[in-house]
Amino acid sequence: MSTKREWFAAFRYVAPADFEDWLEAQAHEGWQLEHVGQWSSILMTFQKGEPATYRYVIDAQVSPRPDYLATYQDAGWEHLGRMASAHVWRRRYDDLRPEAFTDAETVRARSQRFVGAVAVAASVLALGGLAMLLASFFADLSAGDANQMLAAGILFASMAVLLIFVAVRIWRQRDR
Amino acid sequence: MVITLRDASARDMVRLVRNRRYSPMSETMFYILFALRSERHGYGVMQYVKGLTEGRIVLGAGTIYTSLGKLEADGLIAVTSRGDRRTNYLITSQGAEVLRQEARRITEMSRYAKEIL
Repeated sequence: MSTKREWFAAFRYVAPADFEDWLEAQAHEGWQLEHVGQWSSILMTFQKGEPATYRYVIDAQVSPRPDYLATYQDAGWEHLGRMASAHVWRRRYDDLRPEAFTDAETVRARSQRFVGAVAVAASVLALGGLAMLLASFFADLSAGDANQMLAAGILFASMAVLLIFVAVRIWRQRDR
Repeated sequence: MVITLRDASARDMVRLVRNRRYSPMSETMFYILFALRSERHGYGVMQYVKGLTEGRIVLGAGTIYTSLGKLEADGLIAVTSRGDRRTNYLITSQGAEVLRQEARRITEMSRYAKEIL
């Protein structure tokens, strides 16, 4: 059975609806996602199979209540796993495309949860980067250590800026 | 049966309605609260609302889960029992009052709506 790997897919399709549509297009072409793990946002592996029509849904839940899985599973959704706080669900369909979020209020709440998670990560990286940059300039370090600290600080700050762009992009599409 | 929360007060209920979190109430919230006049779990609510509206409203799993969490946090419903997988919920006295207020609002609108039909 052939497989294909997709790198950084979750970062290329940052809006939840875009990521879901991309997964659905993969399934249409016969590339099936069978499992999602903590590192799937970086590397995602698809198995070649029969083309199928699946509706995918991603839902950010940091600490879901005990009935979270049952609520989806009872409604016919298959849990593929989670990457960080993002749970990935799918459901096969023939004609009417199923929706997990069926009103405007909860669609927006879903987007807000993603924006919140990204904002927390961006804040941590920004604070870490700032601390490293300050240390590289003001701490009593050797020239080599100071340069390494500076490079790490720039990397952290750059990742924070990238995540801010991601959060803005998700927010702009919050009603999808 | 309606649950009365010890820490619930009329002031809390008035606050929820006045700050327009539940007035006007979305159709989703109305039917979830309506369904939880009897004890039900999430999927039970979905089935009940679908049957009640003859398939016009099919609540999604994410919508049900999110809405139940919000209603519980606001004290309009409460958990009555937790099984291995499912959790049962029931409307509280605050939830019942908020639902009644919404019913009055809809009834008034309905009276005027009939005049244009």
